[in-house]
Amino acid sequence: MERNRETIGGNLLNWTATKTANQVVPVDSVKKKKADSLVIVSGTITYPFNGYGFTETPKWQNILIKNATIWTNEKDGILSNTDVLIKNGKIAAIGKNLSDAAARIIDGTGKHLSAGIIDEHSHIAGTGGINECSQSVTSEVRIADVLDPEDIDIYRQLSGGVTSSHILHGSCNTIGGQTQLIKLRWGAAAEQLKFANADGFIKFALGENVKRSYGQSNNRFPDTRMGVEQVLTDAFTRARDYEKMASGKRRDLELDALVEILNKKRFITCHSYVQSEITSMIRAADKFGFTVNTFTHILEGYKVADKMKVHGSNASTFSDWWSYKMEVVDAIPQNAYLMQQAGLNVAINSDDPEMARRLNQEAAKSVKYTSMSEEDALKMVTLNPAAMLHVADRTGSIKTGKDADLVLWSDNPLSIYARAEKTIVDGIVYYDIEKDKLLRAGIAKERARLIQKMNGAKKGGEKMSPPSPSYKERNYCEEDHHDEKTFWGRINERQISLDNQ
Amino acid sequence: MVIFLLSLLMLQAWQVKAQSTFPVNDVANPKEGCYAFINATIVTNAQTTLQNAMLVIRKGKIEAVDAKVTVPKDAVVVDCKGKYIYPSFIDMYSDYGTEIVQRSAGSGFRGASQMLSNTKGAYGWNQAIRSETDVAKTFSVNDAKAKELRAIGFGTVLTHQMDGISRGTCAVVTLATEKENMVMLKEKAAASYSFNKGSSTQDYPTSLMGCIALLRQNFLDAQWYKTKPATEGTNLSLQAFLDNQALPQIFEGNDKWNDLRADKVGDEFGVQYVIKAGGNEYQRINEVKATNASFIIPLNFPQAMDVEDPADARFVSLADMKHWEMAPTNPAAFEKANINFALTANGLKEINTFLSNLRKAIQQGLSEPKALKALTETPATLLGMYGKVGSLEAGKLANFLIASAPVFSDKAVVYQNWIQGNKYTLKADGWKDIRGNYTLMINNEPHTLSIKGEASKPSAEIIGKDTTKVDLTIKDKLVLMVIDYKKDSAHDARLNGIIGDDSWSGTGKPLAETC
Repeated sequence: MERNRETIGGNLLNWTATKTANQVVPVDSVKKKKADSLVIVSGTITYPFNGYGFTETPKWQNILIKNATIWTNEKDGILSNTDVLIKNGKIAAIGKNLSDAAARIIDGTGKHLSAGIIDEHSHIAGTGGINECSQSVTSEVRIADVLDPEDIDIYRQLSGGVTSSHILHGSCNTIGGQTQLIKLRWGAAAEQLKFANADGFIKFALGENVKRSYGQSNNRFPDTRMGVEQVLTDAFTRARDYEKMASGKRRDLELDALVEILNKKRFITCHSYVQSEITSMIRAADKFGFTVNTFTHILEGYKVADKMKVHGSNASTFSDWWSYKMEVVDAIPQNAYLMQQAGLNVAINSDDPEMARRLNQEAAKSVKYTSMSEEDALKMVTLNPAAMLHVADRTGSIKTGKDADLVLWSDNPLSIYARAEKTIVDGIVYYDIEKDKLLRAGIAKERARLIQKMNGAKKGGEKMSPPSPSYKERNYCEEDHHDEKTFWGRINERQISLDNQ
Repeated sequence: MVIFLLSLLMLQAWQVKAQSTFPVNDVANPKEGCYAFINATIVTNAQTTLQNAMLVIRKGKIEAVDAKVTVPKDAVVVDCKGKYIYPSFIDMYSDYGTEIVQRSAGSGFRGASQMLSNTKGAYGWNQAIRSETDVAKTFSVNDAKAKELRAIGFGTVLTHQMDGISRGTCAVVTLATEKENMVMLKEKAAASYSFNKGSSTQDYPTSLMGCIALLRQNFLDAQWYKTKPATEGTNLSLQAFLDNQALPQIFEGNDKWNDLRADKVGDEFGVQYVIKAGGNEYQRINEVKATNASFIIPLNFPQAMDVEDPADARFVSLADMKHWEMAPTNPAAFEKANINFALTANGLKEINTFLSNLRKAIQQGLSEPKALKALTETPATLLGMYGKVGSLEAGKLANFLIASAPVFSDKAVVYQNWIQGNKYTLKADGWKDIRGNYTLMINNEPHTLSIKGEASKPSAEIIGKDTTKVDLTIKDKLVLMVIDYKKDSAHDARLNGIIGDDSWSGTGKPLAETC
């Protein structure tokens, strides 16, 4: 007997439900989902992936620059009302009334054309640190491995007329890493930035940075300038022994690079300030039979220019950047001129992503401080660095057959009013002041669109994250261990800057 | 006769396999674990779908997948009418079951340098070269983590200790919560590398270029070590690096440019890495394609940023905003460029966003068969494991998903993830699709009951002059329906009962009699 559990009423209902039809459920596929505004991607890939990138890889075209003032850096000096024809990425002709039906014509009336600026000492376009500080000899590390072809500083420096930069390892150890000469081919991948068939260089350094003696607990040898000389002597002694070893030896990349130096297949650019250590470096090099190709910074070069001349070094210095530490209190703004007068090949470099945008003005300072000629001053940021980097046969002057690495200036390039209107690398216009205006307008428009789209995502209930500022890491010669600094510490030391492009 | 002999052989094989060295503190309870999943749509691999088919599993392996096989007598029969069965996914970039190694703070720029490795033993000079690490020796099953991965469809992972520049060997393990001995399918299936020195407290390398130089020198040192140089003595790190070269080599690039850097180092020494991507490769897909590498792609799409306040918006870069918009196009870019790739859940901030992010990628052009292949056949093949996992074929492991709909569709509910024949229920609700029309007889009075909505979240109403919503509660096979007509309280009712196959029954009370 069925048990009735009801206590009130007792009005029990019995029920059954029998299925008469299945519901037909349409099988939905993701693709069939109605495309809403959040799904549609209107953005485009640009090279580099930021607002100043190209939508397609730029290709060279024939260009005829008409009626400009040409700073040839050659025997012809400065030519007025002259044309320059660019063909296949090279300078094809220089003269009056040139014509080429296929060429794009650029009117140079009232404008100045110079060779592209070459920055002998730069740390742009590198990522993951440009100092390998952990040992006093790190000749095995290579800037070539860590080029960042999307660094906005490439574009910014193009806007200042720079066409080539020598990307150096930093200065925190005696024998630093292998450097990389690049052309500022904005939009190219790392391998295509590299200056083809250029001699390999390596960074050396002297002075306070390499001793690291400001740290009480520092245990990295050396601690003194005498020790620095010993590091050099030891390293090259090891390299010589290594070279003599029989086959089957362990290939040592550190010593390979030093052997290249001994065999004049790799060349040194050496961070240096104080006269005593410059001469010490020269003595060490003489002992092992190689030449220090370039002394960079070289703020006391005016004191030892004669010794440098005998040794066969080039000098790459600042115009008037001094007194930022004890090592540089003897710097003078006539340094470049005095070294030039002593017969040295002298360049002005930046070592700074901001200063590199106005190296023409840095060069002009020697005209202000001394009686250097304008032509010689401009050569300090064009032909002279090309020569010390062993690429003067291909760039650094306006000469038929050379690479078309050129800058069209709005004014005399040594004037503070001069602006680079077009910067051309290998015959390709990578920076154009008019196109830049369009790009800026495009950035504003694209930012507005994306902000609106993000706001739409918020309204649509998407999970949001707080706005995250975008920072750009800056590489400086003397710094390392970026990750151990506080955020604000890094901003204060300009190691990072806000970058919203 | 052949079939008889075959099954005899299989039986014998099982009898041998049934032994184990592990003592049981219990009564013996051997299980055949034979199940037959019938009436299912079975997607055996990215190219093949069987309609109205049957999957038979036994002792953790697939015995048969076919439309025609007869149900074994000892099988537990599971009706999968309307359901879809897929091979469980494989993630070949995981640290499942390993301990996360925290990076200890170094001595700092101005502190004392650590010039050599602190690792104890006859290992190499650099602490970030950990080629000797053998994850199989420290792997331990972690049910909580396994559960997270099972919930998004994974059944097998390649796990490794994500620490250092040369990270040692990786093991293939399933996500079953069983003894380590049983879930480990291959103890050394790959070797792994990165540009991240990880927990190493040694100074060298401090830079990315130092990492690359170290890796390069390590190749050269290992070559030299083959000659057994007396000046080196025993160096277990170099020996392990040499031994590991025979395995598939996986490199964590994590960024389009680092992918290229890794590939370039590999090219110098004749190694083709499988590269773990970062998610921004679509920005340089031609260069990425030129590596000829296979890739492991994460679905770590960035979230939208709250940029309503213009003062906030100022600080956000265009590149970051562009990447937010375009990141879901990354897998499709690989497919379009015809690059071989697997997918990984690694890199997701919230792991349960894996399937929704995958759907976003599909919306942006990733084809569904390619997505399935990238989660099954491709990783299995790259690891040399396709004979065991990655598709539904006789002899392979019984690792499969049962879903309510095609697994990448928006509304698909994955009910169960079976791994090595073990059932893991992800969602029980909706397993039985009760939706449809019913004749509801209450004390012999007919009504039309309609059950609609989603299978896992159905709703009900009585169709009539005044169509009335029914408050429907289902728990397993028990149902409670509350019918409140508002205008016609004479027919209000609370009914409870049991859900049968196609007919339900029970008892109830008028609503008014609520105590």
